[in-house]
Amino acid sequence: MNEVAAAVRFLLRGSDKLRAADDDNVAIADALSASSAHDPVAVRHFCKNDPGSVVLGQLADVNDQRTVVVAADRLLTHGVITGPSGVGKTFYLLHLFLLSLILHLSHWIFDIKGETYTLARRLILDYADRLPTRAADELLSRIVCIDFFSTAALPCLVGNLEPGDDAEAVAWSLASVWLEAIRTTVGVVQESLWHRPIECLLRAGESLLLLPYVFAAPQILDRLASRTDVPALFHETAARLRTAGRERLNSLIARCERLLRLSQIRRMLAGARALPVDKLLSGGYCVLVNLAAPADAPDLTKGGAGMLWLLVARAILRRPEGGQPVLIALEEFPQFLSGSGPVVANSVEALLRLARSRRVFLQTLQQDMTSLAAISSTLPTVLTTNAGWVTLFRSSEGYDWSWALPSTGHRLKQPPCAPWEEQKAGFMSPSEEATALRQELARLPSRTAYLVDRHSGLAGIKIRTPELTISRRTDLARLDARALELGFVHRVADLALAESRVRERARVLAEGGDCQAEPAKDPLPSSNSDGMANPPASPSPTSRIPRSPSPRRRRPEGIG
Amino acid sequence: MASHNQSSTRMLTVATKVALLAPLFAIYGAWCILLGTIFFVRRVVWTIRLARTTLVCGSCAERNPLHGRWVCAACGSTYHGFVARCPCGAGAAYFSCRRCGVSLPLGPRR
Repeated sequence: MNEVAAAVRFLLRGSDKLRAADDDNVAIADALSASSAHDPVAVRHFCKNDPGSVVLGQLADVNDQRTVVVAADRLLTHGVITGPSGVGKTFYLLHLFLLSLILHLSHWIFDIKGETYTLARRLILDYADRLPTRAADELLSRIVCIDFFSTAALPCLVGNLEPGDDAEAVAWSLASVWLEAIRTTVGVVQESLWHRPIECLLRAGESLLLLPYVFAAPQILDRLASRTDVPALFHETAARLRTAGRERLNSLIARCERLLRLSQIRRMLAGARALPVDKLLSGGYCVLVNLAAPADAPDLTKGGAGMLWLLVARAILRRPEGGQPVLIALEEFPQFLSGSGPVVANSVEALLRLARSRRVFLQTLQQDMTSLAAISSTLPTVLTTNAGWVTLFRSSEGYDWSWALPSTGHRLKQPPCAPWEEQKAGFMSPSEEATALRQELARLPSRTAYLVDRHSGLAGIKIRTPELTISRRTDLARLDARALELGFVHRVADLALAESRVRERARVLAEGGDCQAEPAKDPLPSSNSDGMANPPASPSPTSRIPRSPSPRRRRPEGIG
Repeated sequence: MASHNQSSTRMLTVATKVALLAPLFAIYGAWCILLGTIFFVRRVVWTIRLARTTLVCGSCAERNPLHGRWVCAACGSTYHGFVARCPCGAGAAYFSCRRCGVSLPLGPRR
């Protein structure tokens, strides 16, 4: 019976022995592959070369250097890129940015150190040079570059409240960010002195540059009260300021002036039209924001970042669901948050939970998770829980990355080093493998990372990030025109004029000028103006504004 | 006359026996043919079944390959090839499903 069956099999299918031997060879190769760095299932998941896929790198294995690809739409999720300085995080982000340019996705980069901003601009121009003229023009028309400390054009950071904005909440957030930026805390009494005037200025549609003038001359609020629907708030706030001691108000003025010490910050606060983030979000633009301040003013970087983030966060939450997808990359994420305080950290946490439904996806780059935990203990967990993509470069910190590491159960034990050592046959135990993977993670070379697709439920695979060559070109000014043309930024000369107008307006209001005769309007000239000469130098508000009447010893009502 | 009678009687006896036994032989023959046919069909069916690449487990529906690396229960050798044929000449009667462990026969019941 068996002989007949064996003969029939031989006639039909050839030698069973050879096929069995071939199968053994394949199994041995699979076992060797599994015992190396990769989970075979994850490798199959990442190496499917389907049409519409984009390249994220190649397998980091001496024997297997297949290309790692992923469907383009799977990039549309929150992402985390972690690794110390110099391992290739920025170039990996720029590779993702290049993919966004190719796929016509809207991708924003907030750069707190200035390097990524410059590299991204060079990358855009390099890519545009490779395109036909029409496609290059179309690409450059989608690029908006905003430099917070430019000497040519600046955005406006605070402006009129949008429909749906809660003035109290916005004022509180701004006041908190402002205080955190200058590393100053105030007492309970000063808190209300600090944020209520901000709320009044927001409600009145006035520039926040008026704030030190309000502290110096609270009657400005009385004069603005008639223009709003809550005059009582203005009068009560002014009364509260009058009852406060002069020394206390002077300290608040000093804090204002500390943040307003750079002309760029003053000018960004001078306009009444804040950066139209809603338009940027819906317009399909690629936005590069350089937040790097001059070397002696890092606190202003953080203050500017905080105020900008509040604008962006409010715009994202106003956004209807299901819009055009937008990727927002935050370089040096802990530094981005650290200067802006818990308000911005909480805002980021909320966005990590809510922004996905609005088709806004955050990509955070950080050197470690410990510095994030120092800002908010829940932030690392929220970040890794909501992230769809995690790219983990070299890491030796104590954070538990075991879920991202490919623990396959097929990793072979190390062969004996010397002939007299006992042969350790078989596979590592789970704990041995976890230890080996952690040690390997701490020794990963640069440009090598574990890539985890959390939606797949699979462990990470070790990849080598793609080569990206960026020229050292200097003709980057071509990219600045678009933001100016679209009105996202304004000429510094115009903003300087606006600043001088705000100062003049403060003087008029403080001296008792008729508020009705000069309604609040955008102090910016039209964007087509050719610029103005430098505004007249203005002394400190405390020296220009007449002193308020002596404080009345009456307890204000409704505030406190 | 007597001998004629005896031979007639013997012939009658034989004829009677044949007449009585013929249906039994016919039934027996038919039974043998039926059994042979059944055995033959079963062998053909099993040969076809074993000529395939896999044998489906009746318990868990796992497709077990019929070629591979096996250990002979008789001689203890590890051999490559068809599961039912060890180089020592011993024929395997069954092997275990790789998924659920149920014994899968490699031929018809004896």
